Amino acid sequence: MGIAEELGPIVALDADGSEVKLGDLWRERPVVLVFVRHFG
Amino acid sequence: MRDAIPAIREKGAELAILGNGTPAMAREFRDELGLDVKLLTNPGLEAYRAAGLRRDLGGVLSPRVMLHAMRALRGGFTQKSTRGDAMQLGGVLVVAPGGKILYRHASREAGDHPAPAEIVASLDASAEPASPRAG
Repeated sequence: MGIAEELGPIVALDADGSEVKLGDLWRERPVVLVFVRHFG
Repeated sequence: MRDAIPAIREKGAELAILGNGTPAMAREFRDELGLDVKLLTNPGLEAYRAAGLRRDLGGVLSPRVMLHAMRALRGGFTQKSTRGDAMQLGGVLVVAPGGKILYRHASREAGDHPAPAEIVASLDASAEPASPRAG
């Protein structure tokens, strides 16, 4: 399975606590997804 | 990376930041940096694993990490208390519609960041037209 196929269904939370499916990030346009080690 | 945001948008792409703390930590981070980008968090770290990013103590305690930290301090950045998983390493993925991976960088240690220009250049691949057909 490719990285995008594995990542796509994973649900993350936005800053307001709402669920966001990662696959939705690149549905319409390319996304630069930066994984930070931690916030701050 | 924040300086690269206009160039990323110029190429029709968007920047999203994924961390691993709580949504409240994400809010603080966004407010401190004044970032106008999508900010997400994945406390379970499933996305980090799916992206093949490392999580180990060696990556956050190596001598090279001290050099990165000194460089960051000279640049005026200081790390405050850790908000998230202290052993998780980061990285960057550029994903095109359809799921094609245009760019991938998995940090080998804390402070190992790719050049923003490399990331922006990878977006050109998504803008290339389909190969012309003869005929």
